[in-house]
Amino acid sequence: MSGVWHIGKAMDAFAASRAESVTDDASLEREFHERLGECATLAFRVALGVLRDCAEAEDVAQESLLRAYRNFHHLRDRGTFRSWLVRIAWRTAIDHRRAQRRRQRHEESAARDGLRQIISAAQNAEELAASCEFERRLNEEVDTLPEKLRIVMIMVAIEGYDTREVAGLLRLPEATVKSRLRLARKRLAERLR
Amino acid sequence: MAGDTANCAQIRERMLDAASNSLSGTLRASFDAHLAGCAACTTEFRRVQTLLQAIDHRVSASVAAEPSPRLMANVRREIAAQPGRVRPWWSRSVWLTAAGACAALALLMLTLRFVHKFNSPAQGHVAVSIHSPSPAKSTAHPRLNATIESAAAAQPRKQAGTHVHRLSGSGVHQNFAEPEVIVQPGQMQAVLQLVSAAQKREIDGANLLDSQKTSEPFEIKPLTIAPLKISALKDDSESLTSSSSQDGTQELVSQQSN
Repeated sequence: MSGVWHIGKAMDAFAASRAESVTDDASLEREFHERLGECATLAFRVALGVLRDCAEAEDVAQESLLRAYRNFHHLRDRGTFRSWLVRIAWRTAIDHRRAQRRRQRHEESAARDGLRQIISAAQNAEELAASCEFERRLNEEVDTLPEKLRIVMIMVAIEGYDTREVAGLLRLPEATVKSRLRLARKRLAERLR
Repeated sequence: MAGDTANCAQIRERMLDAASNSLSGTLRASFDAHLAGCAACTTEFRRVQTLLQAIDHRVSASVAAEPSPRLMANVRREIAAQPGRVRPWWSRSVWLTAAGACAALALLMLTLRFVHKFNSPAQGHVAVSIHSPSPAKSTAHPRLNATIESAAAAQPRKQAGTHVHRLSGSGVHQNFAEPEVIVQPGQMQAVLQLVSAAQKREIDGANLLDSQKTSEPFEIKPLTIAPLKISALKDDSESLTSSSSQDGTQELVSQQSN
């Protein structure tokens, strides 16, 4: 009787674990879909900061979100989902960019004197920023920044994030984020000056 | 003017830091004081400020776009096309779960059996007494030289369903006290191997006793010998007990368990 009772209990436990795992599946799915809505734009913008092309950024964001979905059960601390997704999107975009560059022939940069004239002629920052030449040169210089400076620059540029939030997303001290941001801006300005 | 030119060069090196508001108090004060009296540096500083603002503006604008609704639709469609991929590993497969449960059960049973085997009370210690010969009787070295007699010789002691093995001294060593060996079930094979080794003179009792450097009787007890498996014996269903006969011989009585 005891053995039968134990087997019965084991079968009950097995059935319960199956039901629990199904519940876990459903809750994981639901949790991921809840986060998907609020984080899809973040993944898209991180990819856009690297690729600067909306269509490509959407492709990369989609790929990043699907990667996050496939590996969501590996994420122990769900509170770090956003920073985790940022890293996925960043790496995916960087890989995409490298593959893209292998396909494309790198164009020679325009003469620096031309940009200097544009900067001097600009009445204000908005006018300068709207210049196609400035944009092209800036993009080139941003691409040459070290990765740790570039991601800080792009993350701070994303609307709604200050240095404290970026520090949280990148898991860095806020002072580090500030110094890297300052260094990135300085390097860009030195090269574009 | 040379001093002013050098000062302008230093100030222009600090312009990026000043535009980023990262100059310390004294440096910032000297920087502002220089700009107040130098039109060229003031123009250059405005230019640097415009450049930095344009950089921030441009980078911010580059990531200000919103994803199209198509992105979410595509992601949801792809997720729907690969159901269950988000599940934890332990719930991905019924068979995997069942195999894991079976393995855990088998491991548990093995562990319980192992623990039970080594925690079960011993069926009795085996006492082995080795007596050295009296020097008054003989100066000869003791030598273990035993034979096994048939169980038929001990018929009066034999009960129904029992077998008797007799260990007795032989030859010139009869006057020595023979080792008393009390074996418990499962140890008969070890005793037989000991006797066999003694017969082949692979064991020399003299050397053993000489190595002890004493003529006093000594005892090694209790000596626990791990029981051997009964299945290794000729008759698997027998359990053995032992008793000593009055003539100094060792009788091993195997009693069949019913």
